[in-house]
Amino acid sequence: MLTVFLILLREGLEAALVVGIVVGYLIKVGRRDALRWVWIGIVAALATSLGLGILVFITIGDLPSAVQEPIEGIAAVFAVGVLTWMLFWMRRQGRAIKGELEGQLDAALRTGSTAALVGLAFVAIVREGLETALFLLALFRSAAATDQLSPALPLAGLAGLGVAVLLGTAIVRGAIRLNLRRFFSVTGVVILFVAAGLVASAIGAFVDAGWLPTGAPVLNLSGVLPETSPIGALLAGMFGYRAQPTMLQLVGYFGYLVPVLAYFLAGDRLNFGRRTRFA
Amino acid sequence: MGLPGRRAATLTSAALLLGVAAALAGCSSGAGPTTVAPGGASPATGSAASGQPSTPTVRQVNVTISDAGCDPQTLSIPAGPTTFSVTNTGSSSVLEYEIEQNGRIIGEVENVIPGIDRTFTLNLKPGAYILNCPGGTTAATGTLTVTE
Repeated sequence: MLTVFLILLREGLEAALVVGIVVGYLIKVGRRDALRWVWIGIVAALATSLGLGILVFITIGDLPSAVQEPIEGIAAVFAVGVLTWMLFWMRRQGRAIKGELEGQLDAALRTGSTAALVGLAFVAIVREGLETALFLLALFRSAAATDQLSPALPLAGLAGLGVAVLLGTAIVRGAIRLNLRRFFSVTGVVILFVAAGLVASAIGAFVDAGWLPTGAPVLNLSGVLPETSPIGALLAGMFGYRAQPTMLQLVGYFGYLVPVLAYFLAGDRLNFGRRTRFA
Repeated sequence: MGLPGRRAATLTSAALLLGVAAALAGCSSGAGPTTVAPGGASPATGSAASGQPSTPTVRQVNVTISDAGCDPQTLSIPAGPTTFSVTNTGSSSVLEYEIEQNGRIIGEVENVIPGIDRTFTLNLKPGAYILNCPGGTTAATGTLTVTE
């Protein structure tokens, strides 16, 4: 039961975090009007996941990984692209605002492409949503069909998703209390690690799809922090943690993280010099 | 989400020796499976017509995963369309079953929990394949031999 809870927590957390970043961002830059589109994107993504999930479930039962993994990989690449774009956008903006009131943000930022952000929220949900829907459907069917499976199993799954949503919401609530400059800094670093995790996830998905070669793991942390443990699942969901990363995944993760982090922090340091005047 | 833990701990040291070059070149370490004469493309089916997709009989192979890893660890089956039905006999650490050939995954299932079997279907050609059950203690990898 804990396993089911953790699987769905992990699957839900990444989406919750990315959606949380998008929502928090729009609130902070004074684009609450655009939130409506984000909600529409979220509902559309949930409907797509559940609708396609039910369709697949009643027709072929399960989605072959040869279909599912490329979808997940391509979605991850798209998400990394938009997140990186957001990151640089925020970095530039963080330098420009000099602590002025939030309402005085650069018009380009405020009207900046909300379509990309809505797309990001949609993709983040659909990426794992279809698989998650199929998994839940299988749980419900088993619970209904056999006596040996307790109905607690699907409930544990839903609880995992619920906790993911709660955590995402808590993160947004915490983040939007920060002043704009700190919000950009903190969110920027979070985005960075989420995006680096998505790079590793994309590589993993393309490996599972057979598009990229497998490789032996270069580290084995299964004994220390297995992905199936509560903390491992949290880290896997939020930052793409892998207990047994391959060289390709490590190179992808750090090959993204190190240069982008260096660039981001260099920009941030410029801010710190001018920071004193604002709260 | 792929949760691709890869290969057994036994291969880890070999991987470290092979290092970056091998990984970038995509060499999966370990014996590159030697494909035994992939001649018979359309396998063991009685009435097989000329077209490829119509393959009537699908063999079902039941395998299990446990804390140890893949069970059985060595598997030998005839070529042809094959559905693998994967059962988790009670492990909360091993949830994935993969089949790999020439360093590429050709089929896999994830999130296999006790009580809910998952299946995947492959059209297997004769040759040597690797089984992966990431996270397994003693049988995280195994071998699959597909005969004519």
